[in-house]
Amino acid sequence: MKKKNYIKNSAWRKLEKYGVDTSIIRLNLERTPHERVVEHQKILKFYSTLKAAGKKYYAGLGKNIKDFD
Amino acid sequence: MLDLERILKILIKCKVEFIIIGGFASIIHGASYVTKDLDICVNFSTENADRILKAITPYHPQHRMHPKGPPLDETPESLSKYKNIYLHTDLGEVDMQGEITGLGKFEDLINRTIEVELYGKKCKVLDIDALITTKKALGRPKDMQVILQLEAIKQAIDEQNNQ
Repeated sequence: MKKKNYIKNSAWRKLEKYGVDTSIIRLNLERTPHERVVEHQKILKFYSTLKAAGKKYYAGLGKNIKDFD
Repeated sequence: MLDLERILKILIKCKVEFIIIGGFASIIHGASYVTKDLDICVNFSTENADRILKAITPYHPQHRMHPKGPPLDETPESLSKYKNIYLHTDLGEVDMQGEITGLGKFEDLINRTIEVELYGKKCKVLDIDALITTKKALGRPKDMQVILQLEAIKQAIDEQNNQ
């Protein structure tokens, strides 16, 4: 699937107008379903790392982190 | 963090009848989305409830929506009476639904699935049309963006198939 097909497509225009970065979706479509899931799990792991760092930071400041999730 | 690989392999090993729905189904179809729970539609028959319990009991399932998070303490017969169940387990959060808004029960959905290979195992996933239908039927503002993504993906797939 070439990029120009996405651009002329009305659904893709609608998505871009909504403010979505369609490049990630285009990249996903080049991947297999398994690769998409593996990429998602990498992002989730990164998210967990960021969350843990944030918790540690706020704990150091003595802030209430009860609702950090 | 959700250990998707282990959850899927355990469900398949225990022969649980399930269909991947929700956020992970959107991701599998190509949407850019992040979710920390696995949503599945299950057959809440007594036989399948027995398989579900055998699969998840070793991972200390707890009722996630209950303020005190009590452990899941059910028999296959009592579990089969559930419509939906939201669990926290050692492997992450797993939501099981017996009925999907706008589509029906597990047996109504079985012909509206695709089969994909994940971690070397074949899994049933709600097809893109059914996924759009249920997300529209739910009418939740948070689903708006993913609906637009799925519609764009569907159009791209249709265009490719017509070439």
